[in-house]
Amino acid sequence: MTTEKVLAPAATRSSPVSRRLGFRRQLGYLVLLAPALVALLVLFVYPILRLLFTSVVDDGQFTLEHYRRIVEVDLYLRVLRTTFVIAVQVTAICLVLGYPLAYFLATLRPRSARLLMILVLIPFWTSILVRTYAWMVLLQRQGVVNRWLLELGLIDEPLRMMYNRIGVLVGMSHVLLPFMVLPTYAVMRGIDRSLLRAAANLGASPVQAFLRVFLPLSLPGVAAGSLLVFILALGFFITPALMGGRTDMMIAQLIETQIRTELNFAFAAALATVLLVITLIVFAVYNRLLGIEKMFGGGY
Amino acid sequence: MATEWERVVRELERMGRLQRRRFLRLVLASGLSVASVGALAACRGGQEATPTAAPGGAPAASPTAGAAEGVLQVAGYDNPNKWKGKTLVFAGFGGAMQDAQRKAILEPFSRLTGATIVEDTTDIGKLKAMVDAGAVEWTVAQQGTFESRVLGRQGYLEPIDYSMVDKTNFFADVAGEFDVAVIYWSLILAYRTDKFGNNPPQGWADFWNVEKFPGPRAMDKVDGPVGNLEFALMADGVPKDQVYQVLRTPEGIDRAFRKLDEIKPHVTVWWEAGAQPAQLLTDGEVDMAQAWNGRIDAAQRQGAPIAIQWNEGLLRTDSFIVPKGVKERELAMDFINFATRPEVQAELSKHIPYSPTNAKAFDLLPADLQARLPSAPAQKEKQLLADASFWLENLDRLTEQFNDWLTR
Repeated sequence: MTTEKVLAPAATRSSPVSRRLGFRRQLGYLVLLAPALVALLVLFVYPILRLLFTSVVDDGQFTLEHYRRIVEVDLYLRVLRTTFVIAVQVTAICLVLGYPLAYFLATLRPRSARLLMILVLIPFWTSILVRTYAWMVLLQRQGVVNRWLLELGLIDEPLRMMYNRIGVLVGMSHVLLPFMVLPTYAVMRGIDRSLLRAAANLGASPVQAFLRVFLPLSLPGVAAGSLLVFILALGFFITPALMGGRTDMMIAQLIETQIRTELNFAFAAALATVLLVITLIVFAVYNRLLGIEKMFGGGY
Repeated sequence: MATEWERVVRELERMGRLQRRRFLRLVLASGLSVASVGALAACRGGQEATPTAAPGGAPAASPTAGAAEGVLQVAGYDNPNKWKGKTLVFAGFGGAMQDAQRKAILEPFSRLTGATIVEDTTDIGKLKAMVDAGAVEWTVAQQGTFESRVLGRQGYLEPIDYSMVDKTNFFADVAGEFDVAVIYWSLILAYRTDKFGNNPPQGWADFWNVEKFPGPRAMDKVDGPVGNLEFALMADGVPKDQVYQVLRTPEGIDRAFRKLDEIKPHVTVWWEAGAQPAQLLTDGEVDMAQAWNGRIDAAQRQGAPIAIQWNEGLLRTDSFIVPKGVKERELAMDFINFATRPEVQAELSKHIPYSPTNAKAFDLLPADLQARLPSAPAQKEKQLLADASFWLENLDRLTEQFNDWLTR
């Protein structure tokens, strides 16, 4: 915004020569952007348009039949609701776990922080399936955790930590935690520590300094991390399928069934479109409330 | 099909990772953000497959090919130049299944006919995309029989030419209009022998009987209503030869779901991957489970105290299909004929415990192996053959009803 305002009057005042230079610079940007734009168009925009098309055209005829089915059959809205509830829960857990972790990393010397960051990232490079099976070994009825707790006498009966919502939340939070930690950490690193010293100098207690200076400044990172985790969680498939109970079905599982066994690509496309639209609405609301450009470091 | 799920999971998993990375880059680069699942349906068709050239034209099994002992010979296939210069692209399920097929079907076919074989991994989305685009790469592909029949009905497959595929000794319902079933597998009741060794459950009525057979149970949700409805009716006392008759009535469907209500509170795990029931039984997480026979067989051979109750199991099949517009139609038909010869099917069962669809193959199999195969006479008569025509008509509706029931 501000840059535009500053530049705009300058441009109107400028000579034809500098205007041509400005045009050439813009052309340069365009050329640099072209590969990304083409890739986006071919790999992203086109498939999504095809998806929309598939969901409303049957045998060359326009139809809203698939959307009618989604609205009329209780199952689909219920599973969508479950999907959103799980995504919110996972986001909350990642926030509670991720914020202190990012804070801790941001207080370390860069060298040690980098080292510990590798530990945060290691799960990133492990297959989701492997991680899910590892959790099974730990959490199941006869699993490692239950055996320890039983031997320590802390419980009399094995706890149910798998094949229910707990299993889903544990598995998904583990997978998605880095998405919360990375943006939060990046923003926290950029916060000028002398502001905290200034606050202390002006008489703020450490808690006050954190709450009134550090926390507000770190919010863009939190917002970005939460949005990433939330949206990625919406599309989860393997973890709820393997670690969830019968009621923890998420929409991606229904989409997968439509494609794998029913071969009903049109209905699968309609389900995917509904999820996409709802996600965009969430995104728009989020943008209105928090401002997307703020999340990615702009806006100051 | 036992390995299909694993393959799907692997692919989705890989795709999920790719998308996640692309997604992050997108969000960060452009502020654009759209749920990744949105693209799921669209992307599935675009999976890249890695065709692995099989040993192909050169006889691989043995350099001293011919009538040497131990080398598979197949009646009617004695012209090593029959398909010389032709290439057959076979798309299978991958994994242990395709390894076995390579040894029992692909390599011998190449050696006995001169055809070059290229392997790929089967995928419904890809098959549809190839046919729609008029660029069919595969000569023969494998799919579940239900899926094959849906594809056939949707116009994506070549009709099978039974002047080239000899169906004389096929079991019932093996020779489809657009598919030929090539293996049997079974959804069966498996149980821990240390729990029920002296008094094993005899069928689904016992699976449902939680007083006489206490203990946690695992049931199959990946196959949805298929199996669960049949088992519920048999548990409710419907004789197995009347199951589909009853299921064809609305009252029959209600009856099945009411019976499922009874077992619902006692099911601790609804499994999604074929490997799960074997693992759950081995670890003692559950004492009884529905399971795919191949996975239980593998666990048994690793010494797990698990047994199969063949009574009232559900026999299912996988099929070979030929995509519509294939270039080498005759080669495809000849290959399917080859794959269903008794010698070849018997050979396949020696590598993996999936079972022949050609009755004559059992003449060539030893008794101890026959005891592990779902379509061997002793096991076959105890089981119910999945009715593909019933499921073809009702799968969509009943899957919806089943998922609705499941998530309540």
